[in-house]
Amino acid sequence: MLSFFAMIPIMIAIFLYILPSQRIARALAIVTQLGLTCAAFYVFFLSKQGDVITTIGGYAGVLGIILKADTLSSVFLLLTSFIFLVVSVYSFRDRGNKLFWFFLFIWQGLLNGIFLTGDLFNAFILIEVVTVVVAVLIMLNRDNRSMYDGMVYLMINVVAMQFYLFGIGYLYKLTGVLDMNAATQAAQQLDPASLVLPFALMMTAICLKCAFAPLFSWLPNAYGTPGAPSAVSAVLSGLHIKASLYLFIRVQGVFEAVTVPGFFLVIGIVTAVAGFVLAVSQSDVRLILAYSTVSQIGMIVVGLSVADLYANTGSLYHTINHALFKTALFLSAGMITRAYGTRDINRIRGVFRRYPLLGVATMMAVLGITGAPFTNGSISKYFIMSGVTFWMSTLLIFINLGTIIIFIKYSWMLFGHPEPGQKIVKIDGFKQAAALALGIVCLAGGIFGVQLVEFLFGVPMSVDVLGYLEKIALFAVSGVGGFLIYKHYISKSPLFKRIREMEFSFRWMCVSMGAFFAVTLLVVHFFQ
Amino acid sequence: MIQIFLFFWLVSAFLVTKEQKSVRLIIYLGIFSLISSLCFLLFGAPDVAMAEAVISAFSTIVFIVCFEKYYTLVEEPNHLPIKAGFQKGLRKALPFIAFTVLLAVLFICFLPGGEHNTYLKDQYTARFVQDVGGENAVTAIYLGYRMYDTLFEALMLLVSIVAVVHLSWHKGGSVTDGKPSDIRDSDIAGVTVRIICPILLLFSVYLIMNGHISPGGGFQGGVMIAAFFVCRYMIYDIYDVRIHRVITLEKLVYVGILVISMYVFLLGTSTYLPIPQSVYLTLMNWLVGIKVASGFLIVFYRFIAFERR
Amino acid sequence: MHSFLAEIAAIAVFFLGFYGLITSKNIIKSIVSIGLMEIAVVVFFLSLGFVDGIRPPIGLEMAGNVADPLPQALMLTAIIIGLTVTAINLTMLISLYRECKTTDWEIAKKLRNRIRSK
Repeated sequence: MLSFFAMIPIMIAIFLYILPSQRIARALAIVTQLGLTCAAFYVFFLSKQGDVITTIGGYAGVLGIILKADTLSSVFLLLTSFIFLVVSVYSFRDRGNKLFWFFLFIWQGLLNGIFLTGDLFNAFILIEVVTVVVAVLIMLNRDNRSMYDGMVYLMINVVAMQFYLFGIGYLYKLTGVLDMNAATQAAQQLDPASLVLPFALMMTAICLKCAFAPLFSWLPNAYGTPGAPSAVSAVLSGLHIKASLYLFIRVQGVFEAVTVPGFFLVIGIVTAVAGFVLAVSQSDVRLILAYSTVSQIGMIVVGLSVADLYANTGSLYHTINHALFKTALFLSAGMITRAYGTRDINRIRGVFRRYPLLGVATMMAVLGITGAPFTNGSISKYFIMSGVTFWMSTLLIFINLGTIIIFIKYSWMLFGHPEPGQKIVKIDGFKQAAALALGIVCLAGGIFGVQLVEFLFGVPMSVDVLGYLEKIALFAVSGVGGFLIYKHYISKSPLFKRIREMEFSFRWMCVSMGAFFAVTLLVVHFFQ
Repeated sequence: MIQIFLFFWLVSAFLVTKEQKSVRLIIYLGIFSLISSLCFLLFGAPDVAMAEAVISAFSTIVFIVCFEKYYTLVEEPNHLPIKAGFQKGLRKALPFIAFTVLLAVLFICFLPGGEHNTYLKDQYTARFVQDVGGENAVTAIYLGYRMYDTLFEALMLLVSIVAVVHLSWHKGGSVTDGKPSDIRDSDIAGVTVRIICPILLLFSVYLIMNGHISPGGGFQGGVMIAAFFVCRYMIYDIYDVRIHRVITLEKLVYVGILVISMYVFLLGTSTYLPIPQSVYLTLMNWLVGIKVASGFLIVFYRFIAFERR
Repeated sequence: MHSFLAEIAAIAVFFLGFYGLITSKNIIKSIVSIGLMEIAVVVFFLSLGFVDGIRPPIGLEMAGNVADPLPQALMLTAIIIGLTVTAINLTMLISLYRECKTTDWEIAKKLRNRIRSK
């Protein structure tokens, strides 16, 4: 039954492509999305009683492909359905490309497939297809810039997948199975030294897909390319990267014997800092958001790599929260850039004055991502910080200060007066409603945070009132500090302008991938 | 035996890597693919060998057509570091060579020892006849045990075709943009292709019909049907294939595959099907074959008549 | 033993392809290098459990040296995927060439950035 989550959207996509009437197609799309969300809820409740397992074709043992929905995958399934529902509402009245809907639905089917699959090779195929789908969506409008961005995206990901496939080959050679659970069990019997090579090969590929430092240079251009529809950028930054993170968790589970959490902790911190530095130096609205995704991914990885239930759960909750507020930000940014006719952050002013609803939606999402009190971001960040050591949590506070600085720069465009002479563009109600709904969910996720975490992950969590107050005070301090730093240092420094120009070419991305592979091998060998 | 093939395989790979000129690059790539297909045959994998041979021939043609149309691509120099004189170029390329060798050495240092774990192999070879039917274990796996994979593979083809059609559209393009093929003027090639053409079609039908009991199957046969149309184009230089219909056909066949496999997934093993297993396998092979054939046909026609909507 | 030889050869070709990726400035060369890496992985998969005189997994008699059918089925899939990726890459290359009149990574990047700064 679980296979239908992948197959139904694909089938609907083909119908949408063949259907001559656009209006019927739209209605069909929305109805399907609602149906899928309900189905995802159903699976979620089922998975609370125990893992939902579908053996495709009913073959015995691990001969066939086994799909599994445990708590983690059913939460991601729910998230996928929700985000795609919102994006469908957002694009409901967009005139134009039939292909957009076709690929959007295929994309959803494939993401569902990735979240449900229990088979390593099946995951490989799904990722390859989803890479192509995303590359085409990036290039949907076919301007020069997105051509280059899409091409780099596709090719670097295909190269990474060759590493992944090689890793599967070695894992298959050693364990004789492709199913994740069976491989985990078989790998426990093996000598950990023999697992180093497959681990390094697969992790190189997955780290590139997750955009960890130093392998993230393909991400911002692909995720923030101006030619792509803003709905595509929203799903890319909000949801698509989470599929890679999900695989990161799963594959680490397979290689329990060789995991080196310290390594990913360091990588996470480097990623977060690098993402912050690059985000602050951008002036393109979408690029700021794309680079801030990199920085948030770093934070999530830090939380995942700590051996602590609170930090891990908080990190998973942050993954979901990030999907919500980043989608809201990209959707509202899409509307803002269209209304103002520019993507330059320095030329957009006075969103609140002109489009108050849009401003409110953006503001709610900004509060969420910076971890302001009573938003979902604050809860997840609180959990992450409560699970790590003192030094780590200090470091995380500084990383969060970085996020605050990025978004002080970002929300500068909400205030002030718009440049005179710009004509006012009317904004579609469906779009505003979609962004606002996400913003409200961000707030609700903060107020009912503890209950929500328990509901989603089944882990009882508690918030210490005193600790939370301390975090509120910290937020206020870092907010003021971030404001001062931004105003007096960053907005004037010429250094950041130079950083903006820095970018790896395709060759150097490949070189960094090779270097990452070598370093992983050595680190795992020596520090295991 | 295998040592000799592997040696030539390595040599051809080396030639591909160091080649500067695009057309020669493609010809070396073709040789490389041919040798690897022979290696696959020695590895006891005739299905993969056949697929690789057909596909390499097909992709060589696509590459060459692409260059022939956009001949300026060919004249563009490759800015490889090796290019500027051997001494100077070597010094430039040396860090990269050292880096690659270092990676390869590290890779080999960490090679896991041990024999191939044959857990799944034993299970498959022992059970496929009663589980899925047919006599070809490879077909049994991709149409039975791992049908779910095959679905997404067919989807990959579908998506890429939509992508190729969408991306290749160009304003102001016309059918006549394609250069007529030169092969008609060449006596030897023309006559040979003319003789091979019908045999190709016959052989592809044989491959699909017997996919479940002998090497071959939907993929190989499908690509071969597409190759038949390519040959036909080369001899007669005609555009009478209605691409729009082929595109719709491809989608419909995919929906057919999807519906049938959903039915099978719901039912459990294909042993519960109302039709005999061999009929099921042949039907799926035909569907996959038609899907692949129409897909590759579209790709080829998009490359020769690039810009037409 | 022969299986080990094939494995080493596959690794060598994999890194030859990788070398092609890190040195070529030409997009066509990069596409071809990815193809090289793909075939190297295929050879590695098929060489699993290889011994001299191995038989294909076809027929009802499965005793003796029979090749592992699973990697073959997987690689059939991987080869088709490789070809479709090559086709898309080539299409994108031609589209890029129409826009930029170049097949050079660096020049294409520079042109892209010029558009960005506008």
